[in-house]
Amino acid sequence: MQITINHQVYTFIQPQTILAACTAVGIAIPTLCYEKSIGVIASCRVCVVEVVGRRGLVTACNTPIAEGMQILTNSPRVNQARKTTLELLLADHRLNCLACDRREDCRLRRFASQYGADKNAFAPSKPLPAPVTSNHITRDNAKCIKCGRCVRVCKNFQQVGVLGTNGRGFTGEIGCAFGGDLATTKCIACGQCVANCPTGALSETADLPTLLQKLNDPAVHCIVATAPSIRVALGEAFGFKPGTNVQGKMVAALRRLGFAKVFDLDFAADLTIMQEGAELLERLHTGQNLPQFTSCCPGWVNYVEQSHPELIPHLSTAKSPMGMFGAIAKSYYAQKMGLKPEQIYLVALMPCITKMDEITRDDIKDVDLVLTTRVVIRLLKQQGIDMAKMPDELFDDPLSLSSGAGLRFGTSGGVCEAALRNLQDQLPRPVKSVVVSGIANAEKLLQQIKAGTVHYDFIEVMACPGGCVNGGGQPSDQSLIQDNRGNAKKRAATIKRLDKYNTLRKASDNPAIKQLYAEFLGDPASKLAQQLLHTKFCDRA
Amino acid sequence: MDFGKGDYAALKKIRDEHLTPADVIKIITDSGLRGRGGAGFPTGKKWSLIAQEVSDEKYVICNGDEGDPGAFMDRAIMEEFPHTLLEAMVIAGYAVGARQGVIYVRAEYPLAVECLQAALDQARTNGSLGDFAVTIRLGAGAFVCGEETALINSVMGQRGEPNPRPPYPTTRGLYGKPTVINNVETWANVPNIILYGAQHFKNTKIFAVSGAVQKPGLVEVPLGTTITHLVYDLCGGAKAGHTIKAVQIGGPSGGCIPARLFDTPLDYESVKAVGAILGSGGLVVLDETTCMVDFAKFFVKFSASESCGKCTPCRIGNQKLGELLDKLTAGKGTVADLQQIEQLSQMIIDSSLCGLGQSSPNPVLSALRYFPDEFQAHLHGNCPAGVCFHGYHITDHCVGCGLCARQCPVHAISGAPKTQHCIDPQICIKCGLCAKICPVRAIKGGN
Repeated sequence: MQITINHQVYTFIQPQTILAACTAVGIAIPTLCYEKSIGVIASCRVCVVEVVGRRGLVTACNTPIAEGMQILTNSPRVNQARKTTLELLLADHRLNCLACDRREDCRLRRFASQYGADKNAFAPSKPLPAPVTSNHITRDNAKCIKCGRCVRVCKNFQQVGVLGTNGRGFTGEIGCAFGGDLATTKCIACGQCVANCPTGALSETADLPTLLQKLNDPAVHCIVATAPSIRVALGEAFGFKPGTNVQGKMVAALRRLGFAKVFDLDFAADLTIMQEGAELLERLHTGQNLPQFTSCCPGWVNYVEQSHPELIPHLSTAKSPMGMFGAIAKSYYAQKMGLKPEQIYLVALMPCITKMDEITRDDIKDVDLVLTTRVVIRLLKQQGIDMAKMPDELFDDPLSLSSGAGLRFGTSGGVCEAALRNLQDQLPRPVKSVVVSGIANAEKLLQQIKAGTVHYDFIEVMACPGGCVNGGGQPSDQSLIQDNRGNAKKRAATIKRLDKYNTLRKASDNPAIKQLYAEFLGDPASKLAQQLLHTKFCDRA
Repeated sequence: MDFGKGDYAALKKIRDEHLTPADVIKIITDSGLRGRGGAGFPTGKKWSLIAQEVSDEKYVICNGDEGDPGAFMDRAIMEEFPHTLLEAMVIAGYAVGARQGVIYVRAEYPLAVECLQAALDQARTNGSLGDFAVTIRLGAGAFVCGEETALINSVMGQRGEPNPRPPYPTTRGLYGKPTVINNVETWANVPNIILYGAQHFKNTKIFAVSGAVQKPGLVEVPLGTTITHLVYDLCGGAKAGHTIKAVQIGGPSGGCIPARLFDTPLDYESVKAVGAILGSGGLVVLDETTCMVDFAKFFVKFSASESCGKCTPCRIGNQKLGELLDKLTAGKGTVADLQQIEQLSQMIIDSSLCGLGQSSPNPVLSALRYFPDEFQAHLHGNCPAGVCFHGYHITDHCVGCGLCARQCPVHAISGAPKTQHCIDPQICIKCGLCAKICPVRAIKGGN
C-alpha cells in the first residue's frame, strides 16, 4: 500500500498504524500513553498527526494506514497541537525535574523540551496534591498525566485492579477506590505500575542516605548480592544495547561504590533448587499438597496470601533465593569471616519492588536493604561511575559460583527448568509441570485447575509478565515506540544463551553448594537447613 | 399508567407482508432518516453495516441519555410513546439479527423510567416483543455517557469513558459484539416509516425551544424550516420590549447563529455551514440581555465539568478555556488572552478523543465569529449586555426581612434579621431574582 509521509512516497506491505509506519521510515512521533504491550489507550493526544482530508487531527498510535493516505507529521498545526497539549500537562505539574527520580527517563520532560513547551503558558488552576507513599510505592499525582497506563497494567496484566480514577474531568485523580490507602487493598506490590509510568508520578522508595552512610562506615561490612536479571538490564542506562550482559562491569561498578564484597544471587538460586527440589520429591512420594507452586516470587506469594489462602499449603516452603542468601550470609558467611551478623549490612540488588516488601517479613529480615535496578542506575550516575569504562571483574567467593540453571531464575520458566534439570534422574514418575507469568494468566490457570480441566504436579508462577527480566524494578524502554516487553525478551534471550554456555548445568553439581552442605548445612532435610532456608505463609485474605 | 397498549402495527405489517430484514433496511434507507442524536449518520446505512456483520450475538441500544441543557425532546417521547420505542427496537433487532436490546435512560428522568418500565411490562404480558429481550439501564449522571462508546462502557459496568474509534460499535460494541445504537428520537420515527412507507416520511425534527421567546416548548417541524419561521411564527418571537439577537443550537456542542442569518434552513448541512450543529435539537433563543462571552463561558464550563478526564485536551484544555473566559468576564482579559482562547479552542477540537471534546469549544468559536465586538468590548471593561462586571449590591434601604436570602438559588446572601444583608459576589450568579423580589427595592445593580 502506498502512502505519503511529509510528501515523500512510501510503500508498505503489512497493515500497521501510522505510528509504526512513521517510526519505520525514521520519523519520530512523540508518545506518552502508548506502550506496545499495554496497547492503545489514546488518552495523551501528543502523537497527533494531520491526515489530508480528515477534519481533525488523528492519533498515530491507533490509526491504521490506508492506501493513498497523505500524512503530515510536522505541519504547523501538528506542532502547535502537540506543544499546547504538553503545555496543558505542565500547567499543573510539579516541575521539580532536577530532583525528580525519573530525571532523564521522563518522557514528559523529554518531549516538553523537544517542543519547547512553556510551563507558564497557562496559569495553574489548583494546589498541587502531596505525594503519598504506601506499599513502597510513592504516588505523586502532581506529576501524573492521567495516561491510564498504571490502571491498565494493574487490571489487565495482573488482574489485581486496585487502581482507577476517582472523580472525573479536571478534578479526577488516579488512585485506589475512594482515595484509599494502597496498603489496605489487594495490591501485591509488584511495581508494574511504577515500571510503566511515563513520568515521575510513580516511584519506589529508596533509602540511599542510609546506604551511603553504611558504605562509608569502617565498622560495617557492606556486601551486595545481585539477582540474575540485573546483569542483562543494567547496561541499558549506560549506552549498551538491551539484553547486553554487563556482569563483569556491574561487579566492578558495585566495588567502586564501596561494597566490600559483591556476590551473585544465582548461587542462592541453586540453593533454593536443592531445597525446593527435595520438597517436591517428598510431595511426589507422599502425594500430598500437589501441585506444588513455586514461592520465589514475593508478588505471587502476596497474591496467594491475600486472594487464594486456600493454596498456601501448596506453596513451596523454601525461602526465595534472596531470603536464603540473607540467612546464609548472616550465619555461614559471618562465621567464615569471623564477623557478628549485625556487623554485616546486606544489600540485595533486585529487579523488583515486592522484594522491598518481602524483607519486612519476619524471617527474611536478614536482608537489610533492597535496591531496584532503576535505583542502582540512579546511584551509579549520582556517584559518577561510568559503567562503560569499568573493567570486567569477577564476583567474590564463596557465595557466587552458580550453575546455568541458577541464572535462569531471572526469566519466566527458569525455576521450573532448574528444578526439573536437577531432579531429572530422581523423579519417581514423569512430572507434569507448567509455567505462567503475569497474575492474570496465573488466575486463568487457577480457574482451570479448580474446574478440573487441567492437572499439574509442579507450577511455576512469576507475577511480572515474562518474569524478573520484566520486573517492576527494571528500567523502562527509552526508544520512541516504547516496548518494555520487547526489551525484556532480549534480556531473557541473553540469560538463556549464558545458561547454554555454562558448563555447570545443575545445582547439585555446583561445588560451592556441595561445600556449603558439607561444611555447614548437612543435607536439605537437616534441622539447620529447615530452620534457615524455609519459611511460613499466613492467610491475609 | 395508560399510554395505549401499543398496537405494534408496524411489526404486524412486517409479519403480514412478509418483509425480509433487507426490505426493512431498504425502507429505512429510502426514507432518508438520519441520526437525531446530533451527528446525523444515516440510520439505514448504520443498520446495514450491522446486518452484514457475522456474529453469534448482536445488540440494539436505545440512547435515552439526553443531557444537553434545555433539551427535553427525548424525555417527552419516552414518557408518552414508550411503546413506539420498544416496537422500533424489535424492528431493528429483526433487521440486523439481534435478539437483545438495552434502553439506557438517565436516572434524572424518573417518570420516563417508570413509563418505559410500565410499557415494557405490558408488552411482555401481551407478547408484543416476541423473543426479543429488552432491559432498562439507568445512567449515573454523567453527560458523556450520551456518547455511544462511553454509554456502552457504562452499560457493561465500566467507567463511563469513551473509547477511541475505530472500532465503531457497529463492529465491536456492547460486550464486543456488533451493536445498533440510536437516539430516542431516531427510534421514534422508525415504526411510522415502516407503517406508512418511506415516501410519506416528512423528515421532521423536534426542537426544544427555550429562552427569550413568548412561547417556548417542543416544536416538531420538517427539516429545512427556517429559523425565522420557527422562532417568530411558531414560538411567537421576542418577549415584549426585547430584540432577539441570536439562537444557540445544539447545546454545549453547538454554536450560535446571529439574527442576520435567521434565513438559514434548519437541516444538518446548512446549520453546520454557519458554524453550529443541529445536535439533538436544543434551541436557546437569546436577546440583547444575554452577554455572548458569558453565555459561551457557561457552555465551556458545562463541558469542562462533564469531561470524563480521559484525554488531555478536553480534561485540561476546557478547564483553562473556562478560566481564560473568566478573566474576560471579570474585565481582566488581554488581547493575548483572546488569541490564546482562539488557538486553544482550535486545538481542543483538533485533538480530543471523543465528540464531547471535539465540539466543546464550538460555542466560543461561533460567538467569537459572530459577536467579535462583544469580546473586544470586554477587553475595555465594558459588557454591552450589562451582565458582566455589574454585580448586585444591597443598599442601606434594606429592612432585613430576609426574603432575598431565602430565595437566592445559590445562597449568596447573608445577614442577621432586621439588619442590612449583603451579597457575596464570589457566589452570586447575577440572576437578578433578589432585585426583583425585594419589597423595598433595596437591591441595586445588574442592568
